Amino acid sequence: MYASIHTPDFPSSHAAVLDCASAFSPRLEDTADNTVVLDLDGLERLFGSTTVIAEQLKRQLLNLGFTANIAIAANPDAAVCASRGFTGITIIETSTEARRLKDLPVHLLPDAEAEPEALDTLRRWGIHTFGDLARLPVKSLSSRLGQYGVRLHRLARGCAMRPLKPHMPSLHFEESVDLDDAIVLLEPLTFVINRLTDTLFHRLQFRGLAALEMHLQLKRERPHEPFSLSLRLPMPAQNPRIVARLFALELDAHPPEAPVIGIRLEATPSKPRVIQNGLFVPLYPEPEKLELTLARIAAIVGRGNIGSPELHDTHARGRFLMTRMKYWKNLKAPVTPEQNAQTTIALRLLRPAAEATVRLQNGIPVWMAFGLAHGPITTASGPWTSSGDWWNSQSWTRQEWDVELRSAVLRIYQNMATGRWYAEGIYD
Amino acid sequence: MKYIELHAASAFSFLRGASNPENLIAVCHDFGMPAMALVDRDGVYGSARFHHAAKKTKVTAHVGAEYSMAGESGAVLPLLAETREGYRNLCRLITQMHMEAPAIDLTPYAKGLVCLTGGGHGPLTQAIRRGGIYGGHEGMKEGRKAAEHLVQIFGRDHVYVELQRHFDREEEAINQCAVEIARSLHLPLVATNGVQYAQPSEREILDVFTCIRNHRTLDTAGRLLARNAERHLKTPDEMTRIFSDLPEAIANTVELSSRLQFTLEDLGYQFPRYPVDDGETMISFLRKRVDEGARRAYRPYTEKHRKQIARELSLIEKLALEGYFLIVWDIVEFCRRNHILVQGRGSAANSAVCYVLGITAVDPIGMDLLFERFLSEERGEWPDIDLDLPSGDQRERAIQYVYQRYGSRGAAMTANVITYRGRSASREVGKVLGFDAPDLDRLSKLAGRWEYQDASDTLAATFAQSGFDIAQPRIRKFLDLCMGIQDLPRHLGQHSGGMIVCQGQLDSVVPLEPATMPGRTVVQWDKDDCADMKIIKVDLLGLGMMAVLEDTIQLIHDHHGEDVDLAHLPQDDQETYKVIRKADTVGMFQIESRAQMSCLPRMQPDHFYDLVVQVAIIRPGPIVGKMVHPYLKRRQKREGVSYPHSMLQPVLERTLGVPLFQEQLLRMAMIAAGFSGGEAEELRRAFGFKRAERRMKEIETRLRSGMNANGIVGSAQDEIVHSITSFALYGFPESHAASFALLAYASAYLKCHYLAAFTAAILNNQPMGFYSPATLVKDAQRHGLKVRPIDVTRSDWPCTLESDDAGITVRMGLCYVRGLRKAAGTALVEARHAGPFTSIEDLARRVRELQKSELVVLAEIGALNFLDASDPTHRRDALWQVERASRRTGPLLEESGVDEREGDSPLDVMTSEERLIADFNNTGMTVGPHPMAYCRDAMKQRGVVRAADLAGIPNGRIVRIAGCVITRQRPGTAKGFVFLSLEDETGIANAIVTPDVFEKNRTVIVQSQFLFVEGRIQNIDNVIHVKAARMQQIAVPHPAPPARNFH
Repeated sequence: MYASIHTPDFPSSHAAVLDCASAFSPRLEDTADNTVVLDLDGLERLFGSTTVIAEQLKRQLLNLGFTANIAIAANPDAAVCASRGFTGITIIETSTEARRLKDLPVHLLPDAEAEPEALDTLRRWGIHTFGDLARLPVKSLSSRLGQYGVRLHRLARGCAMRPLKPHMPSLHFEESVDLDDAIVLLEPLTFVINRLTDTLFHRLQFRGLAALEMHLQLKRERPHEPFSLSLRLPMPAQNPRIVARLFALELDAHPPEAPVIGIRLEATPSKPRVIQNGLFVPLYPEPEKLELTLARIAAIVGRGNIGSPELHDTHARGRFLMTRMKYWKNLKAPVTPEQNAQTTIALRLLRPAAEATVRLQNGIPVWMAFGLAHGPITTASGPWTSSGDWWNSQSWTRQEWDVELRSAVLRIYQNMATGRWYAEGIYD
Repeated sequence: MKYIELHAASAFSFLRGASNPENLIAVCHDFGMPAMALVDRDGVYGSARFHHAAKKTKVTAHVGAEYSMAGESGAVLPLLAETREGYRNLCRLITQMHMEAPAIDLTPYAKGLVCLTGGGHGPLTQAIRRGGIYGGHEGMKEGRKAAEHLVQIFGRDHVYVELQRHFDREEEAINQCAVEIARSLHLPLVATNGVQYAQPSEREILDVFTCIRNHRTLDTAGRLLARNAERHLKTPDEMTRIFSDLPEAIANTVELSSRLQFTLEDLGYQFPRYPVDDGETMISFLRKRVDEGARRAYRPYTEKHRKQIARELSLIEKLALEGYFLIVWDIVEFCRRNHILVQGRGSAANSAVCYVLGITAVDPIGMDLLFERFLSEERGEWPDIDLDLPSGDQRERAIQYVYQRYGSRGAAMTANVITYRGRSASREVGKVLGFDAPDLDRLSKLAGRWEYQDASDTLAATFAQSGFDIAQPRIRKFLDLCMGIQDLPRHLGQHSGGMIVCQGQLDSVVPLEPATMPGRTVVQWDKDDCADMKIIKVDLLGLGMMAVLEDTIQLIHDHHGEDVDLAHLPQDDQETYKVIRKADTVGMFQIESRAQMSCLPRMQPDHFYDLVVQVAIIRPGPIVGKMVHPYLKRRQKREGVSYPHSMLQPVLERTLGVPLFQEQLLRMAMIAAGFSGGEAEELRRAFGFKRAERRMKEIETRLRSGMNANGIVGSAQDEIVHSITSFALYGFPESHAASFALLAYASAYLKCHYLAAFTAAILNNQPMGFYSPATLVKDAQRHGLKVRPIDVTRSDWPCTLESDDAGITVRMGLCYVRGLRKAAGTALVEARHAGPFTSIEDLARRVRELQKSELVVLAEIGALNFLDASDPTHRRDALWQVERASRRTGPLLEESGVDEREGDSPLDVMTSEERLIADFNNTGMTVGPHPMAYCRDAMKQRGVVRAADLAGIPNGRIVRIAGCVITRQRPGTAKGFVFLSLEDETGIANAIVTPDVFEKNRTVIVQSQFLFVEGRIQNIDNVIHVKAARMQQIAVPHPAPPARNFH
């Protein structure tokens, strides 16, 4: 016999229903989002009659907060149909299936959703119930709907027999520990994390997997919100030592700031990366080790100050972004410097630009002074104007000049919004 | 003057310029520049408007274009037309580029053109860049090569080395190279600013356009955006200062401008000459055709007719328009020869020559229409003849005839410039500013509301309601940009029917482009530009009703054996007028709308001129001008006829003292305010422009002063001004109304006397008109027509007529089967012609094109029931068989042609409700009983009155009506009132919903297919409405066709 549990109003709690069902029988099928089927064979000796099993199931689910329809029949599909069509507990005796199911609407047929066309055909034919369908001559049905029609006919008569599709729990890699005494120092915390990481990586290894992401959650005494850290690794990692070390560095830079009373570590699994190195290709550093080195540097200089600089695609001067290093790919900056800027002289930029005092005559700079030089301007070339970001708060507009002092040739500019002058660089 | 701008692009460079040509000219005029050149990308799209605006401000408008060169890494070459030949070459070059190969040898087109070396995208800059800008030898070498190449093509005197200065280092480095190259090759320098907008602030719009063009947001566009805002029109002083080191570059702008002798004033357009035999001139030929026509049309051909025709002919000869009339006549003759129905509309109907040539169908002499409205010497404007043709293939045949007659480069359609309007503007700007999808949706829904408003409290409130704070800088910027790009051109479309033809090559007058429809070309100017350039246009417009009339006449010929000539329909047929007076006008041209129907019983038309008034009176102009009720009251003799002033009696006499037509308003202005014909014309043109409030105010002032001078003051003056100004948007010319009234009468006459043919024809030309096919079928059935269902043994692809014991009936065509492809439908009909089908399996076997889903639909609507005439089956039986027949048995058994027989199907017969649902789902209609008939008993119990019984209920009583909602209207002129038409099995009942009742019942009204309405009946002058007080959705277990909603 088979029992079908149908929870029409609680599809989001399906996992809990599966857990509940698995407490009764290991042979169960995850039939649909709101339907679970159990094989009751042999359970009578453990739990009692099918009626008792059905009632116990219902009670257990009620304890979890769900109301469910439970139907028991000699085959899984008849049980499923009955649980979808009748409320409460329904027990269908063998050989009475066709009679019991005949008034159910055809849209409750188990495969109806997969074959909407067949359902449409039945609707057009005026076939509304299991009984209507069961009355059709099976041979004629077969010549119109093929084997699928024959199956529908069997389902409608409640005599379709099939094996269950066993439910396999999904792969989930998580290790956690609740601590009796709160940890206040980083070293013992790192020790526990190391142990969890080892276990987790062993589990991954058993299944031939590696970790692509690692999520650490620390339960704190106060504040109650957990403290979370995530590592997005450049490639699937298999070495627990390096991951643990990365966590240690992260925690060093960002401590949890409270005593820790629980640790949960979760890994997102991925297939390990296998590389065939070329004989004449220069070897790159091992990615995991490089990641560790970068993490060490980041811990010293700050996370925002490490990576690959990329020019910002804008007319605004000096804007760039720090992006994550792509050390195992061919480096190709998405934004290239202006082409044809084949200037023969170099400009040494002053970072940051030095504020300057500039005197103008007929709108042309004639004298200037700043930290490194001052004096009359002998030649001024400009203005070179630019502006942008007018649609946001970073709007800017400036006027540049190339000026020659007795001692140097400079690039200066005026911020048109503030009126202030700056020396931006010195030409070689 | 020191400087003239010779390189300016307008918004007609499509997303490469941010100002309209008029704005460029306005700023140019403000700066005191005597001339300017418009150089748009790959076209002269904006040149007509530029020229027109320049003419008004006495600025010389030079013509040019930026030509996109092939194979030069996208270099664009600015070309200026020095002479008419140069302009001709420019147009041909651009046409060639658009129509055929992009790689063109420029040499044959070079004569008369002056070439600038271009700005940042010019071939010289590109070449220098290729070689390296800074101090590179290669750059100079490449640049010199490019300049020499241009000299080779255009000649040394026709190449100017162009310098632009936008305060950019790289540009300046290139300039230094360019100066050196110019000096070494002895080429003159010329300064330009590469203008892309009139004012500096418009740089933001250009940036937005750049983003739209490149599918980026402002945040991601990076260096695609402008570096600075320097590409605006600059004053001569500013330009002189910028080029103070190169004064010759500034001086040369003036020198070059003086060389550019060509303007669009000298376009050289000639309407094509009509070929006539030796010894004949076009006018003598025209006179002969007119004389022949007049003798046919006027019997007797009186002195009055002769005089009018002679007057018109002499004016036509004087204005040398005989070729134009002959060419239009030629198109009309082509249509007649090919049995294509054609009728002129618009002001051409004021001309007796057009009438006798068969171009129009209204006798202007008989109707005393004003010829000057069509053609007047004083106005100096070209006449406009619009021809209505049956929409679809027939119209395309006429269009293709024009192409064939004048060559693919001698004729073209006029363009239609698609501009940014509220919704498109907000969507594009929103995207560019990076708004997310939900915000974009909400903002574009708001678009319509701000379109004609200034930023004000109302606007802030509207935005606030949708959750946007107008004070927030991003929203404010969004609004500013939306306003900024309003009315700027987005792309070029094709006008629905405007065609222009030319003597010789049209592509030497204006560039042509291929249209999206194969076999068509489009000119780069729209119809207003063509009119401004004095290019005569013939509108070949598609009219659904013309196609209906044409099909009706053919069906009458085939099934009644009668030949109906629309020109000779019995005039004033009282049976027809009786039907019209009852407002029983579903399907009739122009008089079928809800508003028309409510007016007809009051109007009580009984002769043709009444229809002319009827067509014109239900228009926003007369409605807004509050002229409808006075006219109807006077017509019903409930109010005496009076005139604003006795002077106006001759003008307003035939419309009972109420001005209804545009011609009357022109005459009123002429008589009352002393306007000349030209001024009256200007007044008419001002009516045509939306939001021309300033112009309207000026005209009002002139009207009032004119009337003061004529002693018309006080309320009479106010009344006249009100009449005239209320026509601001939608004046309707009398001649146009007369042409439409003819079609209205013809459709009414044919519907009355040949209902079957008319119904089949109108069903075959859907979608059109006011009502859905389901309503048209029900209306025809109520008038006693038998409409037979779709049947594969009888139906053709279109609806057809059948003659049997029941008389002539309509057989629904296969075209109404949803999901049945035309190829499969016509294959079915062809196979049937080869021999009748014996069974469903036979049908499936012989018509391979039929897919299973199509067979299923045919079975479901009962179209397969009669395959075996001796033993008709039912729909379910057919469905049972189809399911088997569509599973092919394989070639061995198929070839035997033997059907595998089975006993009867085990399925039940469909109930009437199921049949109804199947009909509506699969054909959008039913030829069986109306859905309301099935619930009539229930409705009776609720006290619901049938539509047909409403006429017997006295005014003011509370009634209940119910039916299927066939139309919902919320016209802009009705101040929030909603009009509903509810159809039941007996007819159509009308309900009026006041704004407050609408707000309370909005969801029910908008979403219900079947409605129950309770309210007080208004039954006055046989016009019946129910003023809804309570409304409810009713559950009729049948689907209904979706209502047609008009807002």
